[in-house]
Amino acid sequence: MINIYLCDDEPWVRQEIETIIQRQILIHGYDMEIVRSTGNPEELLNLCGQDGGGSIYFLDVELKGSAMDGFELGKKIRALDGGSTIIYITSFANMAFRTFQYHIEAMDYIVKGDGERMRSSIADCLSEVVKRLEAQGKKGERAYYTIRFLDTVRQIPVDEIYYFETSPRAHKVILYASQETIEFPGNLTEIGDELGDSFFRSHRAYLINLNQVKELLLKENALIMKDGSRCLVARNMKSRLLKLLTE
Amino acid sequence: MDPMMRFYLVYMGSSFFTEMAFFILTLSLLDYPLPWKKMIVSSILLDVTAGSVVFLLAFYSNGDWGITFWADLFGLTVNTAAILLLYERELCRGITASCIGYFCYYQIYTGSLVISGKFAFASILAAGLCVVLCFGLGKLFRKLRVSDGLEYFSRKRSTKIFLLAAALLLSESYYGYMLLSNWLSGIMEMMPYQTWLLTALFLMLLLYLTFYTRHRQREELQEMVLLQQQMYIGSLEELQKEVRMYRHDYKNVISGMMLKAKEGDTDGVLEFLKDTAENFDDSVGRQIQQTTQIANLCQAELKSLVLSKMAKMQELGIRCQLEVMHPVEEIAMNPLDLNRCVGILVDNAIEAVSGQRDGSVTLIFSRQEECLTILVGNTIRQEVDVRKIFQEGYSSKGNDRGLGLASLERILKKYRNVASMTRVHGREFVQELKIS
Repeated sequence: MINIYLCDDEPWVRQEIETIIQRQILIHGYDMEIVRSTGNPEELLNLCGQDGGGSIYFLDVELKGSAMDGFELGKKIRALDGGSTIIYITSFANMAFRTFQYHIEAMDYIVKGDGERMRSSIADCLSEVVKRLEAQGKKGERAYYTIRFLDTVRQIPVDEIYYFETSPRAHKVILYASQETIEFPGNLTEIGDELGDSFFRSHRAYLINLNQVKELLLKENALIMKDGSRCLVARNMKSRLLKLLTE
Repeated sequence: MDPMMRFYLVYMGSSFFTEMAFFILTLSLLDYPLPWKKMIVSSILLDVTAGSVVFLLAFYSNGDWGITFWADLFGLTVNTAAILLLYERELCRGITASCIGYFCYYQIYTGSLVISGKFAFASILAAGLCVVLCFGLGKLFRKLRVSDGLEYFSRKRSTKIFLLAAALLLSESYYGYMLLSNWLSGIMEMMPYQTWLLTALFLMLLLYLTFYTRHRQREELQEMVLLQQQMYIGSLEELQKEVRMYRHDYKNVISGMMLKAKEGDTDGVLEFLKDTAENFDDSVGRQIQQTTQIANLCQAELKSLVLSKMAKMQELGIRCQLEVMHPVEEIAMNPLDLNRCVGILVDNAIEAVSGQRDGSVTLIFSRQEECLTILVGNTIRQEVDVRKIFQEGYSSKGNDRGLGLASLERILKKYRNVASMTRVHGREFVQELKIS
């Protein structure tokens, strides 16, 4: 059962969205329920996180009635319920949404006013949530590698990481994963310690994921990862690497 | 103990301190934070290797100025090489800073010797005093932002050559002076005091250059800001005009709707309402949105920079999305450096996108409690090899791009409260800068 929370200071908006959501739940047979619909953000915060997490929140961007605005509310909810889905409601079609995506990982935003557009947006959001849940369910509990960069945190599933490499830029490390590539301040030794046995320091400049190795080219002191990348292997690491791979 | 051995040890000891003094000065001229551990290690290494060579040469010179000159030159070369290898890649800045640093340290050391000459362990005392004085001078160099002056003069070719020549002459000016005074004997006795005079003259010249640079930079910045503010006012007036036109149309539209409502044509009314709302969002709504974002950039220099970059993108037909949700006021970074950093990032994004059919650039300034986050994103072509992007300094075209990013790295090195991160996700390349 996925809980749905709604927060908008205008009753008619809440009414409209509730109707649309109920319709969608009925049509598609979703296992969801609107648990609370309110104009008071404090009320939502009190309930947040107590239901096991993974809920859906529809939040108004402006929230004229209270001291908190939609952005702050979103940040607080994200902190309390890490796996939640946050969707914003706004009057503007071209609102500045990237900032919300960056700090809150908001999924999408819905423009109020045009009933037809609202209906299709909400329908898309709900089906997206179901899709993500299914994908997550299949993989079970995933291990993540966390990159802490001052005030933001980025999590990459460990099983998607191919390897880490030292960057030409000083004191930086490049992470190569299936969905993205990130260069951030760090050092391979610390990362290696953090990630444990599934990662191997094959070379001064390379930390590889043993589960992602495709081929080992002993003569060329290199190995090929599953994404086609070529990583170097130090000569004194070759035998240990061979042993680890054949186990 | 063998007197020569004692001499050697004393020389090594004081030489270590003078090496440190030299590094402190040169790094302060370049405005880099002082990496103490690295400095100590390299000072010891240089001391033991090059220092010994200089000692031997000086010892066996028997007062022959020719040999001491060559020894001195050797010392200068080795120190300059160390600076270039360890701290500064760019030749002009590295050599200039090293020469000036060498000159200053030499003068201060000679002066310190005069002061401590009357005490025992004169040379080690002098070296210690030299370090303290150089540290103070280094602080002064930082405060006056002499590195900006160096940067300014190393931009153009002509001034670059002038700067290098002046620095090289300066570092060996002592010997030039010796040569001169050989021909005008009698001045030899006043030597130590001459070094003070030379140093004072030099410092005055440096001060003048620094203030001149600062003045010019401020002037250039103000010109740019003025130009941008004029453009900004222009676009606000445009907006005002559009809003007035809209208000005029709006009244007509409303009366049309009232007619339809009276006739009972609710579908017609709904149609009208939808069109009107959409129309508003597409035209005036969009411009209001854009202007609001820009208005949130409270710092004049940053605002001007963003405006000029957006104008450039509009000219080139590149789509740009600017987001500044919260007002950006105080930034813990020098405005000139910030402008240069953001400028380089946006220029690179523009270059990456030019040539793409539906490329776009995203520029986001997000001021949160802990820090200010600046995101510069651009779309990348499908065929681009991501690995190459990261290995070759984010450039798939030529070497010029690398230069911009080298400058960016250099500026970021100066600040301990600024960090950067780069990310490629799908078809987007994003550079993140965080200023806490």
